Amino acid sequence: MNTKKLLTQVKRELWENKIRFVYAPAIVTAIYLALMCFAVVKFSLSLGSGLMEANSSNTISIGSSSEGKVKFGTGWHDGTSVENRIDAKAMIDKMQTDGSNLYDMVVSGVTFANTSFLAILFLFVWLAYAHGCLFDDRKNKDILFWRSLPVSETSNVLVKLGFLLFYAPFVVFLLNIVVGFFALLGASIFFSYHGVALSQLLGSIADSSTLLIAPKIFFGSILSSILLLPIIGFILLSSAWAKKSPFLFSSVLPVGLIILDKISQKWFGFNLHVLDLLNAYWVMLVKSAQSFALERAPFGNLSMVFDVYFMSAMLISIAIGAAFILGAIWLRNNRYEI
Amino acid sequence: MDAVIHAQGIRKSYGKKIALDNVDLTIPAGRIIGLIGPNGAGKTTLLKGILGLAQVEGSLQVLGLNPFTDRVKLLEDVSFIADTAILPSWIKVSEALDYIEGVHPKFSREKAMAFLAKTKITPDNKVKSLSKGMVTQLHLALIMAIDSKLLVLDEPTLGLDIIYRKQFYESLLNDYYDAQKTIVITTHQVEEIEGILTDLIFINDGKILLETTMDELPNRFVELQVDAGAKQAALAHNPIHVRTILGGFSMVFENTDANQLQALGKVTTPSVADLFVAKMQPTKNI
Repeated sequence: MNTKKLLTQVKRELWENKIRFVYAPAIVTAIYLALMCFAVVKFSLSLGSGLMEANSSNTISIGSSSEGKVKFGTGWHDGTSVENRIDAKAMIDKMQTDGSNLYDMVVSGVTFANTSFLAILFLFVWLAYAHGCLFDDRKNKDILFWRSLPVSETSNVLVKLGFLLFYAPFVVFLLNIVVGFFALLGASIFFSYHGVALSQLLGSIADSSTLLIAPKIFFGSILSSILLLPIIGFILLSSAWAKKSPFLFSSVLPVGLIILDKISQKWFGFNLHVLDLLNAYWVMLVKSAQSFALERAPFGNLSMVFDVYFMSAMLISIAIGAAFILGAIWLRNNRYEI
Repeated sequence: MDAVIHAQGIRKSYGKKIALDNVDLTIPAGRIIGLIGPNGAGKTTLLKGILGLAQVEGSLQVLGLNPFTDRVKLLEDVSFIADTAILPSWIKVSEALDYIEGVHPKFSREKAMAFLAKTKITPDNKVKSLSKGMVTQLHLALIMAIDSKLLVLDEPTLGLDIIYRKQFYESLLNDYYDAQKTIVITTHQVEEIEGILTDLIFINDGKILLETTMDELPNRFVELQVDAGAKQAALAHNPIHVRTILGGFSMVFENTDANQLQALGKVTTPSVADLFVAKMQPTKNI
């Protein structure tokens, strides 16, 4: 495929889905960053005013030490005692000796929280886009314009598939880098302000896997997308097939098959294996997700990621997804309704 | 092969409904062809076949290619406007220009901008903010900036007022058409395109009823206006269509010597609209 043509098609998807693909994730991350900044400022102000007392008993209270070291701990609202206090500098030292790292904690916490918000957003974006991308142009009759130009349906469908597979992980990756950078910056300012030496902080970053957090999430998301290929392919097929509502089309068929299987098993004692197949797919998703879970560090031990079970699951997912996608391309090429 | 479109025995049916019934058609380069037919005659099906949007039975070649299997390659040399309102409403004019420039090797952005400079359309406009006439102007500017060999226009001026319709055809003739380009137009507003056509094709019930050049038309068809007294004498020449007009009758004849009719009344060349009615409706004995 011609690169210029491909890039133009990618641009078209971005133009057409500007709100979904560009503005919405940027706004979510911006709000998240704003809330994070607000929390950090409030936290710092609380430290500056001395011991922060909680309104109810047995909740977190935070104080600062006379040596200028940050201390975290739990205490009682009367402020008489602060238990289990942890010196921030000591915590860094301890974490470094344990092989863990404070920056990992801060950045991964902040990044995972951002990822969670974006994942929720992209779930809706993804469903709306997948259902509409091969349906809306037929509904609006735009398809007559697009098909008046020398662009094949194969490349059209594959570009949309590319967006479904890679766009969300890519955007989450970029935004996580932004958020991670701010988290690192915020944490560095905060701890250096409270007495931790900058050299120790920099050493802490160098020793940690902090910088790998966003790539790890990206890598895991891509693998998840590939495992979800059967679902993505089926929704694309529904989008290309449905005459009125792709949402209804993609829901009714599986639900109908499940009901049919249940009726068949209950009344006729005949197993259609629909539920078995869905169960097997679910188990595969869960097991595979475990095999490339972040704790197992895809960059650390690739053999755990690419074991036989996981690779089989990937190949089966790709094969089923490809069948649905070929169906969608065939429908786009052969359907006489435009 | 000189023919831009060469169809032989093409058929298309939807269930029991036959949309195209053994159509034979040869369209040479450099012509402006009016494809005229009533609703449901098979015009759009024929055009969809030519554009590779529908698969038809039989032999169909456009610019030497099979339009269905070689659609993408074919569309580098074929442009079409299927309807005035099909540009996506969300797209900006600048984005439409960028897109076509990116995917079409024969698109000239400069030409498109020059066409648009004659209108009130600006690059920042979104299609949904344009009037129907402006959308047509935009679409025409985009299509005319493509150096294609065949342009297919399916009801291009549907829903437009007379001013836009006139502008549309003027631009088509003055700014686009040359001896290397072929244009196929379908429309119900036959009178408006009569002056620009070089060829005429009538289609009905999936069959080609007439395929002629405009130059041949006066030699082949004659319209005779007679009063009641000369009616029987005129009918003896077997008109293909007879209709009542103020003070007499109007009859259309095919392949009849005009000299024989001149003694009976006023002889003229029928307009395309009158000829269309004559060919579509069976002869009535009045």
